[in-house]
Amino acid sequence: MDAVQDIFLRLSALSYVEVMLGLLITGTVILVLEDWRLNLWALAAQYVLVGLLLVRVMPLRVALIQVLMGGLVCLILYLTGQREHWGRVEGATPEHGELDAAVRDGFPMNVWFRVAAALLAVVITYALGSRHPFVDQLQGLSQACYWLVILGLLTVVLTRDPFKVGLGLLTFQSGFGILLATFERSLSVTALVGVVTILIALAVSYLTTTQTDFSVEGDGR
Amino acid sequence: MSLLLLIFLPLVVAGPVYFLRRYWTTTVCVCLVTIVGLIGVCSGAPLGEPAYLLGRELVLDDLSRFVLILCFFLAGLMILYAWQIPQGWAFCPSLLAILGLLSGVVMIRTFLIVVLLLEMAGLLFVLMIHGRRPAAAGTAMGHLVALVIAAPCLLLVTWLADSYALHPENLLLVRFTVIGVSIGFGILLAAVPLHSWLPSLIEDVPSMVGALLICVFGQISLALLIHVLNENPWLVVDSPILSVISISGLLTALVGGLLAFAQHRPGRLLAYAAIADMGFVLVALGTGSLAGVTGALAHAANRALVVLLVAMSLGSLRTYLDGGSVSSLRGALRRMPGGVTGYLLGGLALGGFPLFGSFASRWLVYRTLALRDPVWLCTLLFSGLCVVLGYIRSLSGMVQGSGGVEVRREPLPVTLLILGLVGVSLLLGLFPGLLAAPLESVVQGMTLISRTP
Repeated sequence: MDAVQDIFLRLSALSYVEVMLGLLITGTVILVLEDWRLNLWALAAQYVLVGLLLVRVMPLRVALIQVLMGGLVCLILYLTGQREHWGRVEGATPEHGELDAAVRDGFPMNVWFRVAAALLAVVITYALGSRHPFVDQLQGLSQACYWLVILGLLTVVLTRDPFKVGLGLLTFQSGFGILLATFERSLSVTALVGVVTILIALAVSYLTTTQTDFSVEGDGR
Repeated sequence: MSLLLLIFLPLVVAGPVYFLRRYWTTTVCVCLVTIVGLIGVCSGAPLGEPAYLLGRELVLDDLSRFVLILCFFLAGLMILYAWQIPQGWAFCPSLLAILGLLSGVVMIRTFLIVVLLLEMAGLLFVLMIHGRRPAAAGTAMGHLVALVIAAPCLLLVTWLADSYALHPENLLLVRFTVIGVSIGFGILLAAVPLHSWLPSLIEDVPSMVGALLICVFGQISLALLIHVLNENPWLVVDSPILSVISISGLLTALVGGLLAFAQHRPGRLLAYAAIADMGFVLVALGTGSLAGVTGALAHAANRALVVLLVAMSLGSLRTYLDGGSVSSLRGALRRMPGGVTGYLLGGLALGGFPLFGSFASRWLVYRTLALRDPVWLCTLLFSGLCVVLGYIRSLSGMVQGSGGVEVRREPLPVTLLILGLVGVSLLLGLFPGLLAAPLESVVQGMTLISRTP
């Protein structure tokens, strides 16, 4: 645990700009790319980056709990992805046959549309973060919160695949977690938020798995 | 101690129930015994005496007790129904776990924790969505997305309320609080235009799962809204929150009623009828008067009973009419007396037809509205009429057979359960004081009433 704390403390020396840049990249990967594995790595990195931001407003141990919860979420989604052959199994997304081909290529057909949406999100985030920062002293926190919330919502809106929707919801939840951390830093609330996040991951995992199982059963009939 | 039992007893029992699920009768018995125990504990628990969980205060007040006992009673009926018509492997354990979490939601005083517990209960609900037939993935995701978006809106309210206490001159905080409350509770209560996740869900999920969402979650969310209004009197005095609730309620009732009339699928019809009825509850709550709020609470309780009745009847019709057909209403009545009677009478009750409990609670609000704004009264009456017509049309469509396989007979316990609920609804209609009188004394003590301008 001490080693993890040590690593985390060293990483927390990163500036706001560097952390924000990291969040921009990870968020864009989740929104734009359809490859589940890349998305999952981006989500894991996003949890670490959010933890690095949170360590500036809450005790180190509490911030570390959030990162560990994020790790657990990624583990749950990793096992789900592995079971579902990373979304490449036939019938994983029965409603969107054309999406399967796109998933195999790693880049969907509408990639430019998603890039444009991400760019729009950047502009909105910048505008909101500079004009309406919810914590006066720490502008970076507001920017990160707005970015993750907007990106999470965009991901939810632009996909119908349960796994991807789940990633969008978890991104949204991360963004909101930043806001929550600025006004509630108690361990019990942090633990409950962690439990909620894990339950979201479990629900997403359950829905992703059952969707494939039922669609395979349906094809069998 | 007894307050903690209300939270932890169902949570603890949910585990063994999951492993016992292959022994169905035993599972049902364990669940029923637990629920009877919960009702007993809740009835005997001291009112207003605080208990502490992780340093947070829990209190059982009059409204909490009423809501909890009603929810436990409804859950008991759902389990009895599931004994005859199974609702999926996860139904019983998830229901118990959800009841434990919702007990916490009703009793814990810290709103932040309350919202997180409510979100947890909603997430456990996802496990119940697939019954014996799979629900569409989009349906389940719709619920998940709605829940995950609603919870932060409500959590924001905590922050905004705390900020307003420090900066009462900042009117922007009041505006944002109203927006947070409107979106958060609008989604949870499926108020128009934030209702779109509910109809497809009710159409796809097993009937008791849908009933749980409308009756139990709806009841708890309403109690939470009233709690927010009581705990933050400045919201009632300094903001237009009651007008927002009233107008959204009227819109919900009107749109819900019209869409209910347009539905051909019975699940969607039930959902829209329930949405229209929630609109009525919101209009009543928005009046902020003693009669209005009492009417809102009484109507929410009646609505829960009637929605459960219609859901049971619908489940029975779906199960025993599936693959078969009947040539006439008389044939359907002979084979499925409970299903047909409950569906028709429940539909009439949902629309506010006289003699039923829901009419009695509507009458309380009609009297209040008649003095204030007759146009609103006419709109609500029109909404109810649309629901009634929708049900009459739906039933006639359901029993018009094509001369195929003869339908199976409905089991006697299901018939008795449905007819029993019809009886309860009629009893509450004939003696409305049974529900309204105790609720009136609960409402009289609310700060919401005394502070309403």
